[in-house]
Amino acid sequence: MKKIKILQLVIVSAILFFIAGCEKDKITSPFSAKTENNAKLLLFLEEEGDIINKIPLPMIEPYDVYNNLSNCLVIDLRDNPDYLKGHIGGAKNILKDSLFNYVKVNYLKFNKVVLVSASGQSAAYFSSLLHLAGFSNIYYMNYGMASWNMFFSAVWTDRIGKSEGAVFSNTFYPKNGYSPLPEINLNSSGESMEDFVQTRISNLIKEGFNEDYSSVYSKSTMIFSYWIDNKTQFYTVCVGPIMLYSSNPYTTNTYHPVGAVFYQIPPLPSDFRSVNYLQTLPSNGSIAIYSGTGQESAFYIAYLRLLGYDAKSILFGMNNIDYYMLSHSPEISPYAFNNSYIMNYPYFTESNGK
Amino acid sequence: MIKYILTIPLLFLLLSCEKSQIVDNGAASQEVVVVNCELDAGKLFSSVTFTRTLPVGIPYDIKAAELKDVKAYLKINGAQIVPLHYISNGEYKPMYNELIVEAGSTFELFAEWGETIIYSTTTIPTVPEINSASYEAGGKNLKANIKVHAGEVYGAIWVIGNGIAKATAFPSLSIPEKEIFNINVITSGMPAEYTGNEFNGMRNIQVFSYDKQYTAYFNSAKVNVPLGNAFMQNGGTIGWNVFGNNVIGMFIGVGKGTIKNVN
Repeated sequence: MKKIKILQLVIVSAILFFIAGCEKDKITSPFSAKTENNAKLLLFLEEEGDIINKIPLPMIEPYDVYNNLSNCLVIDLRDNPDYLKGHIGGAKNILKDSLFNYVKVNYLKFNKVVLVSASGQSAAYFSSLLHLAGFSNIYYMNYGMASWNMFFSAVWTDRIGKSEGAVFSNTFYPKNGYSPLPEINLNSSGESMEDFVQTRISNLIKEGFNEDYSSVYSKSTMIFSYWIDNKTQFYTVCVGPIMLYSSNPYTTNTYHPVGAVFYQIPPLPSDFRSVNYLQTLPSNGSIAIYSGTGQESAFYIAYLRLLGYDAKSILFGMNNIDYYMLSHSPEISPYAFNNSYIMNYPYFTESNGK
Repeated sequence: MIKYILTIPLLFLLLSCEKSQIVDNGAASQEVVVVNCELDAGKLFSSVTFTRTLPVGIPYDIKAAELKDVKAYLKINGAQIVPLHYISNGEYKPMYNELIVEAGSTFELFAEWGETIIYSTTTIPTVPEINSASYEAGGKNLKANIKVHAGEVYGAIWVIGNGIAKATAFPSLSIPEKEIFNINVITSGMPAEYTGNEFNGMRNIQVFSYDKQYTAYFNSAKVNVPLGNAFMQNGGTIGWNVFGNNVIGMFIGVGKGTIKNVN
């Protein structure tokens, strides 16, 4: 009986010792914090130069291309039938599926690599992604083939005008509050951020950028008419000079599409910097971005899509939203496409180009 | 049989507590990562410093102690990510010198150095506002009455003129109790040389507010030992608020009040 009592005492003591002895674990236990992939992606992109928030748009005018053809690798991004109808002399017809690897192999062989698309918008988008991949001599040709020769200019001249049904406002809408960055999942554990970024950029390029107006809506683009009918689904952003958001030469109460929020871009301090307003963009909703020509918005949505945002560019920008307002405001009229931008340089067709 | 029955609980006791290995940062021979950051309310964010302690007998040299390859970022109010980049001497800053440390906001520090994960969090206090300032009984100490805010503690120093002399430490921290709206914060005693008439009009008080986490550091650090020494030498008994295996340091919000004249 006595032995049983001793036994009970020992067991109870051991349990009490266990509970009390391990109590301090709660104080000194390892914290559970861990670094997040989306933050490490942003850190990596800044370490690589934060080019989106630093460099001016890598746009090149057709006359620069024409006068420096021997130093440039011109990549025509259009489908092969369009390429065969007419292209810049020496231009290579490279489609999105092979663009990343082609540039990777060839970009150092030339002073400049010039991307050319029908309107300039998809070229701007891809130029942004290629810069983010570390290829620093990539340019997009302003307004694409439309500015090279009038034979190709309908893609722009057919789009300038005013979309019916839009409601405009002079209210300076505030930016959203800050929200978390979009979730990012690495392709495999242990994958380096550099490898992840290269793969993600390659995939985004393959995913494409549909600058065809008739497509209405795609993963990375929409036309303004679609926005009018669905605007409540989007956090709408205007990028460019402030006058694009706040200027109207004829009236003081119709400046920008109702609900649109303004974000400043380089050369002024960019609102897309991490210390500024990047994360006022919603990570749990869609973002519609417009600019003067649609090329600028295409350039910036590439960065945002790399970060995981569901950002879409409104095709042709203010040229299609309200060309009249754009072309009659002195500060922003350079964004208005007009016949003086069409250079009528020679082009090569299937029959005489090969 | 009884022997076995007695032995099993004892073994259980010993084995079960094996996992509660407490890292002894106080071991002078052990290298630890040292993090240092003061987040000044209302000011531009300055920097976070990542260094490591050096073996005993090795003179302190920032070039030997600094860590250049830390992956670090801030998370503000649970959402905004601000990456930090190495500058020099172990200092890491945001890419753009535009980050304002706003009172009331929460800053978290996340960092990786090799396999070491580092974490800390602090809430930025308000900049103290002095309701009134006067002499404490005896005439050597100054005191200020301030409005208090939840989650903050306060300290004060005496300052002569524009800073020709000032206290280097708080004698104590003023810790508000619940339901208190104002509190007195008292400085250490001024040296006798500054109490004479020739310094009339030059005796000032400055009040500092801290995230209440500072209390543990203050109570455990040796008063009058400069903060930098503790960071260089490693101090296992100090109440650091930066966490990680073999990591010490402070990442703390502070509000520096304006200097107010007492007499």
